[in-house]
Amino acid sequence: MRLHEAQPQDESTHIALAADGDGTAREWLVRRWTPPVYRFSLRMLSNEQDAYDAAQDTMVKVLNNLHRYDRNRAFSTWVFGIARNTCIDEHRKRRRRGDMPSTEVVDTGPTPLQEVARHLRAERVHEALAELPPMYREVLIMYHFEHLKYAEIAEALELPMGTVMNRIFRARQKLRDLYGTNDLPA
Amino acid sequence: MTPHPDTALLQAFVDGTLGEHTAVHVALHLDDCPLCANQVLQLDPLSQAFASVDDPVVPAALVGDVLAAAATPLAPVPWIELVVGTVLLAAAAASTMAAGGLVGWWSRARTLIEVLTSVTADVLAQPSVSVSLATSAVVLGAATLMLVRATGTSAQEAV
Ligand SMILES: [Zn+2]
Repeated sequence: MRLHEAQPQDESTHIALAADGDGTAREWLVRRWTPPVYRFSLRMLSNEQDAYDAAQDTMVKVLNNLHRYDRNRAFSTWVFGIARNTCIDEHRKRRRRGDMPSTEVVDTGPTPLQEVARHLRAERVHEALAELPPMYREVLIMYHFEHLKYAEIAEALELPMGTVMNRIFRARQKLRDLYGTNDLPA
Repeated sequence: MTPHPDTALLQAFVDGTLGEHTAVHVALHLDDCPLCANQVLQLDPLSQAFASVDDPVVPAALVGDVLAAAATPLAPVPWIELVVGTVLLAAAAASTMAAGGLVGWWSRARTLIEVLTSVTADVLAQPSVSVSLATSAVVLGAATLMLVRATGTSAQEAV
C-alpha cells in the first residue's frame, strides 16, 4: 500500500481541526508528517543539520498555512510541494554560504555485520542521488522513497505529467551515465 | 483503468525509450495498477536498488522541536477585526470631512489615509490574536480622537 494513502478520512478530519487551531490535531499532523518530510529533506540536502532545519521550517509552514490548503488536492502533494521549495531555498543558502556539496552519508541506523552489505548499497544509492541536480533528484526521491504516484509528483511540483515523465527518464539516464547500468547496486 | 500494457511496453518504459504521450499513458496506468507496478519493479534494477535502501533514522528531538516552534503560530488576522476596523475608520473619515466641510478636507483625508495604512500594516503583522485585538483597540481610540479633534476644529472655524 502507498504510504501516503493511509487513513484519508482520518487525515482530512485532523487537517480541518488543526486549521481551526485544535492542538491535538496539530500534534497529530506533526507526528504523521515530520518523518517523511525529514527523510525527503535529508535525501535532497545530504546533510543532517540542513535537513533538520528544512524539515522544521516545512512543518511550521504547513501548520501556519493550513487555511490555504486546497482540499481538492492530495495533502501529501501539498506538504511535499512546501518541503521541496524549502529544500531548494536551503540549497541556495548553502551555496551562498560557500559550503562544499556535502557527500555526508545518510545514517541508516545501526549496522550489525549482516547489514554491512546493505548499508554499503544504500550509501551508493545516496551518493548517486547527491550527484544529480535537484530537479532530477526530487522526482526520484518522491517516487522511489516517498512512494508518491506519478500524478501526485506532477501535482506537488505543479508541472504537467509529460514534463515529470521527461524529468524522471532524464534522471534515470543521468544515473546510468554516472555509474553505468552494470555498476548500479542491485 | 486502462488495459494492462504488455511486457515489451513496460520494458520500454523502464528503458526510457517511450514518447512523452505514451509514457504518460503508461505512468497513469502504473499509478493505479499494483500488478503492473510490481512487474516494472522486476524489470528495473534501478527501482530494486532504491527499494533495498532503508529509511534514515529521524532524530528523536525533531517532532518536539517542530511542536515547540509552531506553538506560537502566526494566526491569520480574524476577518471580523479587519471589517470592524475598516468601518470605524471609514466612519471617522466621513465624519471628519462632513464636520470640517470642504475647507481643509484634503489634508485631513490624507492624515487619515496615513493612519489607516500604518495601522492596517500593524494589524497584519501581529503574531497573535490578543496583540491584534489590542491594535484594533488603538485603531478605535485613534479614530475617535481624530473625530473629536476634527469636530472641534470645524466648530472653531465656524465661529
Ligand atoms: Zn496493469
